[in-house]
Amino acid sequence: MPKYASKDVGFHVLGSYSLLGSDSKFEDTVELKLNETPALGEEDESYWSSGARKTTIEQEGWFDDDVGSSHEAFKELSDVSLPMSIAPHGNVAGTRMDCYESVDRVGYTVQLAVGDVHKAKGSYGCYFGKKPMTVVHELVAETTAGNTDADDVQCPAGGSNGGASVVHIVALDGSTPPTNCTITLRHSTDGTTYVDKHSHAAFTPTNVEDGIASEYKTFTGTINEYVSAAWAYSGGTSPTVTFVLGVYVAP
Amino acid sequence: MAKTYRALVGFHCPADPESLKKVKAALKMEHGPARDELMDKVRWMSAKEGDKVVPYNEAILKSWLDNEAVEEVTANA
Repeated sequence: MPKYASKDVGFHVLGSYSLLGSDSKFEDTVELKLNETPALGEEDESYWSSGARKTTIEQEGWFDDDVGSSHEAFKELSDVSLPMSIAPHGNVAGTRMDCYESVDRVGYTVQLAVGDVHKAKGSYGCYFGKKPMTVVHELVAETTAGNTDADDVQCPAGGSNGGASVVHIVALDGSTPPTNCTITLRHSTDGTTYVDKHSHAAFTPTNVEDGIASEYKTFTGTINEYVSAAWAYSGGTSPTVTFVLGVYVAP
Repeated sequence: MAKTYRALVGFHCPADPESLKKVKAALKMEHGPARDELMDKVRWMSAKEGDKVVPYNEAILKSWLDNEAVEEVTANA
């Protein structure tokens, strides 16, 4: 049961909401589900497993009630299921992040409120097991359309059994906000020529305000060793987007 | 005459692979805004699916083929 403190966590996002508390503790439990194998006579108990794993997460600590904050996410987020990602080793491209494909906020109990800070405990229901991902684009703001091809990330040896990528857009704006923004996962065998693996849905500034500018998307086939992120806008002037992109390579 | 190829998918590659190698090596030593300045030094070329492209050297053609980004255009295509 790993425990992560806020100061060590690079980002913790559910949909478009940053859930990093002012000071909070995460508890992440992954349980292998076991079933008893019946035996006749005097035998030790024995079990079998289909390999299914159950994941639960709890977060407890102090939360600020700023707009877009974890407190607002806990309190206001609708019942829609969204991807959730945590970077326990910091907000750095190439490091590991944990992704939960589809998560519901199932509980939020405020224990104490002091001014605009609340001591609270949040619980999440996870529909699928945790996926270990690699941060392709760390959670930072970008301006004009571009890519990280020159600053790519190496996934050891890539993979041929498919995988998934997840994107969370936490801010999308501009002098005139763009109509939408599309994030694309690219890959390359040699770190020179990059082809699009797939693009995520185009998200609008309204999607971001609603906290739902996030998508977990699977892919089949090969993902090559070098991966990068590209972003493009539709319309707007001087656009900016703040997002994270992670990739999971199936074993 | 140089052979012509057709882009099978949209792709992106450096117009000068040597500049990319130098920038990638330098990026390992840099942090913060200096990284963006370095990345701006790479000139890129992009192709959309179906575009006809001519490789500017053997190395970039190998990279295109390795990444299944292009196919050769036959004489009657």
